[in-house]
Amino acid sequence: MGDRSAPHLLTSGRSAALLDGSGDLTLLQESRGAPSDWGGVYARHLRLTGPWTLTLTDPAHRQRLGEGTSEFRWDPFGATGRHHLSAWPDLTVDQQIVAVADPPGVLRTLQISTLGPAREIAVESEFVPFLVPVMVEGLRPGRFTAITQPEGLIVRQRGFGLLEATRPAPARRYLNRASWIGGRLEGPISEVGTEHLVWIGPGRPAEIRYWIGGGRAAELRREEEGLRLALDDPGVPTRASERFWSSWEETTPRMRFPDAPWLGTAYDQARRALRALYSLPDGGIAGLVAGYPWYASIWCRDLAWMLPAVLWMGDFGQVRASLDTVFRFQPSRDLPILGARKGSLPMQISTGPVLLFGTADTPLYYPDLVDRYLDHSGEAPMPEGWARALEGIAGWARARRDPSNGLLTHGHEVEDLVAATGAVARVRFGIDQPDTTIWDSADRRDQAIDIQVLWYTAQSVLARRGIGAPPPGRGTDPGIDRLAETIRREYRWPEEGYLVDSLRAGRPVRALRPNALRAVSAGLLPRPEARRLVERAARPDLLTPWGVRTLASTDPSYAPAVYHQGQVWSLATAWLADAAFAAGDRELGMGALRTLADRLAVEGGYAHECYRGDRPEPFNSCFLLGFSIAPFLTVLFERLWGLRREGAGASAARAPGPGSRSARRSRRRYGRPRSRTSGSAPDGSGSTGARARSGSGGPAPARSPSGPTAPKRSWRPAGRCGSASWAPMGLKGPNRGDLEGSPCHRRSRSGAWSRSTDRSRRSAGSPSRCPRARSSPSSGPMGPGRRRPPRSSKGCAGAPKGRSGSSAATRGPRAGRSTSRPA
Amino acid sequence: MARGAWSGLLSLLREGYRIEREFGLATMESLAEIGELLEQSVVDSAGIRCGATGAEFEFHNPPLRDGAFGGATVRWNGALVPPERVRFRPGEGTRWRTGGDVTPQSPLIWRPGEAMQWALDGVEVPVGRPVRIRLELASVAIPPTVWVEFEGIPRPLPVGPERSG
Repeated sequence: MGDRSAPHLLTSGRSAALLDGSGDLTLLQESRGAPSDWGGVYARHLRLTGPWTLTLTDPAHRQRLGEGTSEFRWDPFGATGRHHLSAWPDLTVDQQIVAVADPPGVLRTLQISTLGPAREIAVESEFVPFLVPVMVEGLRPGRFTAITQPEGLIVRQRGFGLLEATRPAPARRYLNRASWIGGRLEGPISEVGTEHLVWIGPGRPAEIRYWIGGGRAAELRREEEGLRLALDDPGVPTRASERFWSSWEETTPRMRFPDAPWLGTAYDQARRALRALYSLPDGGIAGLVAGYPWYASIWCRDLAWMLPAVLWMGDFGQVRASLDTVFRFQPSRDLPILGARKGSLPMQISTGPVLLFGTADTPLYYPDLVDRYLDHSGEAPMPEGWARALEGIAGWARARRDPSNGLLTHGHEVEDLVAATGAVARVRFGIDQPDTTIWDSADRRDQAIDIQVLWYTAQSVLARRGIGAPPPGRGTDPGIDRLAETIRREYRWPEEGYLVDSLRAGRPVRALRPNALRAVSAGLLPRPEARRLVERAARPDLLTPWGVRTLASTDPSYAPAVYHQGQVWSLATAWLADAAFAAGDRELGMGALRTLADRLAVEGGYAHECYRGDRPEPFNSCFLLGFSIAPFLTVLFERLWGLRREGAGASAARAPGPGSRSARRSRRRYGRPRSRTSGSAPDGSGSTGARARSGSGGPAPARSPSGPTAPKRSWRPAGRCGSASWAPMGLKGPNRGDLEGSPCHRRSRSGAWSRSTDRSRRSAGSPSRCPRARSSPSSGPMGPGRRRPPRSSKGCAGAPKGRSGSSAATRGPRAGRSTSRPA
Repeated sequence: MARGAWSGLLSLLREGYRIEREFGLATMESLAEIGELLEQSVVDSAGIRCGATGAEFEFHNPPLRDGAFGGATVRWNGALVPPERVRFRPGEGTRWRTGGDVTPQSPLIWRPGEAMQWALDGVEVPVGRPVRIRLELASVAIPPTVWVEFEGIPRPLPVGPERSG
């Protein structure tokens, strides 16, 4: 049965529809402690509309489509529903809702049929115009300009606009529930409506097509031709949206875990959810939006957490475009009115482009992201613009370095913004927010631990890449080793076996937060201390059955419903998984992965931003956040599979768990072309077989793991496609799994690097270019040299797979599911 | 125009020019539109009105953040107005509540696009001189206080604020 409160997100990469299972574009979601209706049409980082409803009427009845019974089939780009309304028992209403990329908007087709007598029915469409960037929280403009056009109606609000059109044209138009003959109207508009009168009879269904799309108002006219085509033949944009999703499924890696199917399902769901966040609005902007409903713009910190997973998906084009987008908006001077400092990076980018700066950490992620991109893609040398951007970041960070200890100081990032706007604005706004780390509603000044870990990682990359040395005569960077030593010394919290959260005025701030886990993941702590730290994090004051709290419940300032003072964040749970694997505590790492997987399962393939700290209940929480899925994916690749980038040469690397038998064997075998690896499971409960080959043309250069304990071993694939099967570290029992379709690349004749899709491989050559191997049958362990025969090319990595071949579970967030709702 | 206002305007022009140089004209235009939207979509243009019992003003939207607020305070020319003298309601015909009633357990609910009338009882209204009003709101979910501040010369109210509704 459908759940009216359950969210559904339909996306095309440039537009989205948010709806519940009722049949209308309505979606009541609690936000900031109060329910609001977040349903409607979103495109290009704008919320175009509020709730959008359809109502059927005749002289004796009136009933909203969403008030009837409904059965839906959900795909990630569209939904097909069948509705029955109690007012007209003989009517069947079939509805299709599709998010369309070109032009960006939502197409809604209604077909009404009857087996009863012929009659006239009126269909009313009503929506609330919004037309604001999603980044402007809590605001709905009151005044709009409405202009009728040959194709329909344009509604504008300053530089933003939407185009509403129907086929056939409506019998009447309404503004604010009053009939309107058309033309131009400026003023308060709270509702836009149309009415169609349709005749239906047995064998004579009636069809109405509705369109709402938009973005920058200047673009609307240019898109009218595309809109006309979409309305004439909805199949064309529908197929394009379907391809947006099927191409992702065909070309991204697949994982299967015969002994842990829940993990494979969670991987598929998270992979799908990641795709839902893709954003290519226009104007050269690319990235992934932070989440839905209210973070549907590019937040550069959130993007930084997502891009490593996108790299493991092999979508280097999207990562490159995202980095280009972010670096394009790096200021070369201070811009106080935006809260921007020279060399910093934006906090948010939205269509316009509209920018907002002012965080303590965003720029620090990007040296490592560039490094990862270059390692994964094999691209060299670093683009000049990127090198300049990293120089800028190094300068920005240097200006924040505390000369007394070499650590980065943060806080007061938004003060410039408030002061600058206060000097010129008639109405002044402000947030008493003294600090802007990742937990930006918490005051963690002056030197939070995770900022130092980011600084350490960024410095390591910059030094390795030869970027960001201070100008002559401006001092020298302290050694990276010295920085690491300072972090280990200054943040020690021996009583807890943990690291303090921050230093303020040189004194430790003894708050127990999950941020300290990042030091373990970065390899800053020796193994015994790292192990103690993750074990401390796993105590019940920080770890709950539904994830990791942002602050321990034993802290005097713990508040279970407050964003960063005790709420559970899935991002923090992924940090625990990552750190636990890094510290060699695989059981804890698997437990954290299981927690994340359970949330995905419970939430129908979406992943909430956060939950109350005292019960597993989302509160003030986007129903889908990139933070909550991408790190999970990255942990699967980097920690569970142990894949690492190496940094030089065309190779992918697998770094097995230290100390395990498989690791010892791996050390002997890794580095050989066309190697085959096998060994016992890490827990010794069974042996595993592993074999992988990849192309000489060369996937992913890989770098050794950053942790001090992970062995620096690489494995050089021999085929074009990194299709592999080996023992994922951490699974108990007969550990087996398949990883298919690792990122593959080839150099084109022009010399440019491009992704080598399976389609291009198949057209270029034989299936033997796409080798794969499987683990042993589940009936027994597999010794060295024993393996399943290769599957046919049909099942090979990246091989196109018809949608019909996908299970519901593998089609991700609420995809392929049918739901029905009673009246 | 006062000297300070000229200085602010020049500063704004300089910042606009720099933004255009850094990120292009489209960014400058879009940012100016957002600034205008914020300025015009929150505080009602009718401004501050005064009557026998005090002053009134109206918002069209919650400022900066929406949802449930566990605290709502108002400052009149910098001085805190006692919470029991701060009244608000979502529109004509609805019941007034006072700032003193607002707690995390009984929050002020304010959604996007919702207007809210505010009345301050017993405040001293200077004749013909501007006053500065600052509304501070504490979200139940995200701690940092958000605030909005504006100035205006109070205009007479046709009728006094309703006491109940």
